Amino acid sequence: MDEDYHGTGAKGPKKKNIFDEDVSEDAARNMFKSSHYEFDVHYTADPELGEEVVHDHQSKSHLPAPDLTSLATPASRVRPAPENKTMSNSASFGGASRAIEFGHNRSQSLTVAWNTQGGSQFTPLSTKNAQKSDAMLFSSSSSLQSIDKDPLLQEKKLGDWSSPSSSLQSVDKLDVEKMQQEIQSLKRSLLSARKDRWMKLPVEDTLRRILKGEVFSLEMYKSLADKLCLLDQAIALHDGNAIMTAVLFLQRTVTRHIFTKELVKRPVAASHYLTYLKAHFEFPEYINTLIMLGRTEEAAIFKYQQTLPTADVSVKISKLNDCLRGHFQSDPVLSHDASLVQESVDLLERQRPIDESDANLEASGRSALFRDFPRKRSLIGMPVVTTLYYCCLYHYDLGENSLASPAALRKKYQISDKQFTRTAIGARAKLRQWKDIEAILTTKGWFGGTKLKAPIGFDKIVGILHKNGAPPDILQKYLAMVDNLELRLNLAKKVSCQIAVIDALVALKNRAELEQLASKLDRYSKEGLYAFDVLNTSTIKWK
Amino acid sequence: MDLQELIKLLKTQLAHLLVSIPDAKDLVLDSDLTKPLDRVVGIAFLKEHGVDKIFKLEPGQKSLPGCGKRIYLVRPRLVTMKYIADHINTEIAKGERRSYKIVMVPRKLHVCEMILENEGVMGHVTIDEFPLELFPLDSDLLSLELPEFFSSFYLDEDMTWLHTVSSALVNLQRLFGRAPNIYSIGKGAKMVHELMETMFENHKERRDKTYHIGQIFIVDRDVDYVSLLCTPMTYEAMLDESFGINCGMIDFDSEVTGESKGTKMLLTSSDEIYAQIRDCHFSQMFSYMKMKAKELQELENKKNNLQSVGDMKQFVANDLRVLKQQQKLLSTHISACEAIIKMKGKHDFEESIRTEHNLLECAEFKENMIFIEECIQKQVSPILTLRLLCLASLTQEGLSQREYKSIKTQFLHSHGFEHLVTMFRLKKLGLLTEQDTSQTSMRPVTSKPSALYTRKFNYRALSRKLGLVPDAEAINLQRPNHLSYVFSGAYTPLPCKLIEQILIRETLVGLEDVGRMCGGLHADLKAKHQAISAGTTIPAMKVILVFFLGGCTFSEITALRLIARLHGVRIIVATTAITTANRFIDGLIEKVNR
Repeated sequence: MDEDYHGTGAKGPKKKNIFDEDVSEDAARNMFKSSHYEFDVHYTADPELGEEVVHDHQSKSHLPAPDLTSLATPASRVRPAPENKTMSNSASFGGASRAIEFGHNRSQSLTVAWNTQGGSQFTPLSTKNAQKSDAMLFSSSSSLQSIDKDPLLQEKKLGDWSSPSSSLQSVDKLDVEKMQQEIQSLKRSLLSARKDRWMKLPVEDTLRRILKGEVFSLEMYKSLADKLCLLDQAIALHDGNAIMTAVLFLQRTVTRHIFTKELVKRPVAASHYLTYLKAHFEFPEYINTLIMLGRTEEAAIFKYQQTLPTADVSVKISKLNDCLRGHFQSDPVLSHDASLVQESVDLLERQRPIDESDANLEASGRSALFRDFPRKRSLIGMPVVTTLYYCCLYHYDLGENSLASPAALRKKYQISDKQFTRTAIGARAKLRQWKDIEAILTTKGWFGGTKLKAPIGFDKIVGILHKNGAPPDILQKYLAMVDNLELRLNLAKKVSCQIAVIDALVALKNRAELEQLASKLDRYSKEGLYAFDVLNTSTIKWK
Repeated sequence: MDLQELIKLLKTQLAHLLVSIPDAKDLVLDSDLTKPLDRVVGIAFLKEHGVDKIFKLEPGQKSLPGCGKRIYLVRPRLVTMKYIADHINTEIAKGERRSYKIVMVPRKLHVCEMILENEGVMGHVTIDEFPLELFPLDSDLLSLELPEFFSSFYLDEDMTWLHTVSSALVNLQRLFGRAPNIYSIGKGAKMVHELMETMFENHKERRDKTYHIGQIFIVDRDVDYVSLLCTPMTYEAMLDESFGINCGMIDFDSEVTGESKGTKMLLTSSDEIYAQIRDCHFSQMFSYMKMKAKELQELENKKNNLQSVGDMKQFVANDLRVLKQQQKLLSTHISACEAIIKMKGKHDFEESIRTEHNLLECAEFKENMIFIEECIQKQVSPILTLRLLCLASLTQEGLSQREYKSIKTQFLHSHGFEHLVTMFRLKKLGLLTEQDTSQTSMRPVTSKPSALYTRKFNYRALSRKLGLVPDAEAINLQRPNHLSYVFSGAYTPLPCKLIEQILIRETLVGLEDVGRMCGGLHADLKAKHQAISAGTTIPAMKVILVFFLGGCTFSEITALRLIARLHGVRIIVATTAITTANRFIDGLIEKVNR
């Protein structure tokens, strides 16, 4: 019989495993027959059993596979070959069937795994072959090995199998009885299963099958009450897969009117339906569903999000306008968001001509400004603040009625004083236009005079100037405006502006530190001379 | 109880899947599965089991080359199914004959099968599952490595992954015994618990009453976003924030190694030096490392005092190898620390920490907002800004309407209008909200994002009740005695504090208010739980599993390790993924190509 199996196994077009999808019934039958006469009896007693085994193959979990395992084992165990003994030891059927209960009804053959691991995959050795055909019938669980190692189960198994070599015979008897019992119960369950196929399974049972990842059928749930019951119980179960299944079943089998009515009542179901629509790229339906559920803000935001990847500016502008009209402007709750989307449209409309003409100017090479400070990238799509910086850099002197005028931008987007100061100073400092900086910070005083005033504080101004590589005399000028003396000292040190450090120390009346500093300075450098000059001044009252 | 059992189990399961298709086959992997797979089994294992070529599944591939048998190992996503179906249909059209198997990780979903059916490939494929659920990253750390859990469950209110969490807990308990005591903190946690019970009902096979885990805590992420957003202050958490730890692996660039190329390092407790320093407060790092360096120096000095040939042999055989190894590890950690300090120096770290601490104490609100505004105006990283903004909103329980509008406008002006989407997400999660005023309450209820998860966070009341912001004087950073040391004493991670409280009290009585404010606190107790008090009879009761839904940070893990040390219990942390404040915020930011 070993040869027999070998024949089917090796001469066939491919090497087959019974658990491959395309194994034919005959092949399967052969595999069964070749190894077990015992089994064969039961097998012919219920010819459809075998058929069921092969057919149900995809469904895996509820097939009678576990019991085939128990059928397979004794035969191999009776064989005296030592390999067989070791095999039944490590995969004793008690362990195997328990493994199946363990929850992994995966139909794979364990021995095949070992063979491959050992590198002797499908060697046509007759003893091994016999073993293999047994193994083919194993619907072993993958957790088998670990179960063997689980001390608790090990203990149990030892109970069953304390001395496998000596009590083989008695155990076999036990097995046969067990087997027969199981076959009986199997037959019963098979019969009822076949009947149940055409009967409505209770909703709980179907859901249990979905939960376990088993094959199920919803087609028997014809009444609306059944469909809703399925949905509600799926929701109560908290399993997303079940909820999704029930929602999509409802959607497919009832009218849109009923579906929406029921969906609105069940926010959890609605969330799952929405997830599905989004993942399935059904965006119009996604947005409609959101609106129907009253989640208009989410719908508007999603519609807006859809416009973002658009590369072409005019297409993007028209999409944004559609979005504004369709979703934002109609909803008073979204008025703030609407104004922001409107701003984004305006900004794009402003950026487009600026970018176009600047790109031409830059390409022509006629502008020294663009030659010295080439544009890093296109202006289009940049944030407002970046656009402001860009305009302060390249178009600082334009009049307010020009598109690229910083002042116009400031007005249009109601940019705060702080923001404007920061951005404009950064840009002008980069161009080393110190006069502009002074102009930005100059305000008219009460009585017609002018004074310097920084909305963000002069310490921050110094930071920006330093970052842009401003020379010491400029730094010194603004350091002198920092009121807090300690802060001024620290800042002066940080930007290494020695004159300002000396001034700060004088203002702090800290002679000790100044002397220390002076000793480190080059006596005849500008700073050194200044420091000694100050130290020699008698009018200062030191601490 | 050895968590490595899980790896063994997964290896066997994967081996079965692979050999179920005999002969050579190609493997196509989802990109987010490569790291976990590498960690669990390794590439060599795949090759040993007949895998010929390994491909990465990418959008836009029309077909793939390779042999006549192919296995797809993928997450169950609709778009992935579409890619696979495209492969199959193109290859069939080209006349290539091939057997296909799709293995979904961790389980198959109805919608995925539906897509395959719709695309007409159902007859050409077999479908299977590989339950890659929890796997160990360290001796006390398990992860699902499923970062999408957060956005799926909390943002989209999709419960698909709840099943995975419940199933992971069920399978863990099948292996290590069913834990008698289960606590759930938060709404999602309760659902996981219920689903877990349903799953147990469906398999009533084990009569076995022995167990290795006594108590399980399931914690909802939305119980506490504050600790997620705080700046980490302990070494491991800082490493994760600065370099990113992926599946326990860290990539140091050449800047850290000081060589031409970077280095990969596995960070687990098996690295003796790392085990010592990972939970250290950053300020204590250098003193420890100095000590360690001295120790190594002493060991090295030994070689000068070797008396006999025997001694020398001994030294070369044992000490030298250890010495070399440890020296290398120590120098890597020292350079990593330096790199972290350098990174922190790049922005106003001090000031942002001060702002963060003030926010947590609910002090100096005006100054805090000025600093945040300044961050926006300076266009510094949107992540840092949003982190502080969210903290401001959470601790103030919402910004005033005027403030919210102004901040939102400024942020959009600085970083782009696409952040309208970012702002919406933050609002939906309750991270950045407007305070309810009469105007907002006039809205029709339905126009708010569905009220399933959005709830009010009661930072102030909770902080007061549980003493989350401790007296700074009482914190010892060198010998930590209080969980808040992970944030320099500025804040105690709420989940950790609550777990500690429950362990000490051994009851939920007295925590009813806290429970209500956290979104629900439930206990299912089958054993008298004496984890901490004297006279514990069952050692397993001292083993506690804490499962974070939606991810946790290393700061929280470190705090839990401190609980374990302080109270003499063993705590195993399990999570859907390990995250950091930056990764968390980054995941919520809308990105566009400029």
